[in-house]
Amino acid sequence: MSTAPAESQISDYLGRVRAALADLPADARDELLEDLPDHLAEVLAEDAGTLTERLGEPEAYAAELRAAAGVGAAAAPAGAARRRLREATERLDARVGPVLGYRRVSELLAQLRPGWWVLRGYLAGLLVFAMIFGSPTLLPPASLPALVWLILVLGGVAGSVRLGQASLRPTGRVVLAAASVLLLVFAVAALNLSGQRFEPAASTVDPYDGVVDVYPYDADGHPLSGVRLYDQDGSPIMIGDPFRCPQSVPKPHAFGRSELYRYKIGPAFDRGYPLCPPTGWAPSTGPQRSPSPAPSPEPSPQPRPSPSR
Amino acid sequence: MDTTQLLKGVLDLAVLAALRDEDGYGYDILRRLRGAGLDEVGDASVYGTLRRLFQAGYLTTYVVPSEEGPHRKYYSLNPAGRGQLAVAGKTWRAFATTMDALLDDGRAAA
Repeated sequence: MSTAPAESQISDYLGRVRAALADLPADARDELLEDLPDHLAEVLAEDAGTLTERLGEPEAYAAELRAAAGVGAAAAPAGAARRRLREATERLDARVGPVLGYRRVSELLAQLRPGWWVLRGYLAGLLVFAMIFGSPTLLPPASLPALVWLILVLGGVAGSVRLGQASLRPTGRVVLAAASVLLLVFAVAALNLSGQRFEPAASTVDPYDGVVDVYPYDADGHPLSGVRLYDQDGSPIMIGDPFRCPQSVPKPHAFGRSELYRYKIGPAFDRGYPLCPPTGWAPSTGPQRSPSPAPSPEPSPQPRPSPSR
Repeated sequence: MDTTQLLKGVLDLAVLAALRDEDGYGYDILRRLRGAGLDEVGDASVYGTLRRLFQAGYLTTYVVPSEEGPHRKYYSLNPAGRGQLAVAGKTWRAFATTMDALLDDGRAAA
């Protein structure tokens, strides 16, 4: 007996046995079939006749192997349940199909698959973009990252379509399905975020968010002190952070003209605005214009000791 | 009576017994079993049983290279396997005795 036909006979037989055990977990199947090539070679070497003549059909061999190795018992009920589920799915498939104008629903789904691949790739691209730039944007942003966004999304789509066309092993399929589910979860989250962003900004973006103090001036450009602010309902407006002021108060302070701030000890907002002495800036053209450099949160370390020059 | 049904229950014990005196490779063990009179034992059953006994820790294996023909993986009983052979053998003998007695009683009563 020549070697080459024997080898092809073995690999052929082995392939069909492996296919018949396809429902087993990959590692269990590999473990079970580990020695089978050598064993089949042994059978071929010692007896006349083909493997099928000696051992029967590979599928029958696989069934016997399954039973003897003790993996059949666990697999059988699961297999039966799976078969019932498949049959039910097929019935539903054929019944609902005509309603949608197709012979079977699966025909429609098959046509939608490339669309799903594109969507999946798009979402994957978004995810990577979100991980890099911290925010998911469904459309390309206006600024520089637009190019990155485009590359990521196009790359994601290309990769996803390629993945869709590839034939995967069962393990790969499971991993892919899990990744797709995660991706969809991410997509829902991203849509939510974007939805919030498209709302009028008033509720979420407060332009006075960074304000820690208020410096009132009168019409002549003179700074005021001890100013109380109230809202339309008469409630005091407590904006800013009274505790950022230097502790070494009271102190003489120069600001436009000589001012001496005396701080009361008591509820933080009782002393009125400004809460803390100005820190060296002055409105250059008058109070009508808002002071452009914001008062730095750090008060100047060296308050001027005397009335200004 | 269908011998294959009976074989299912005792194949473990049969394979362990076939390895008691001498190590063997898969096909070798199959021939021993058939030679001993278990004609209906299937190749896949023996191979599958060997894999399962190996998994259970009753067998050790080693590979013997061969000049012509394929390398052979030999199976050998380890101490756990010998212990299992003793226990399962005892169970089988008790079971067989019970069955013998049952059959004899039945014939006596008939």
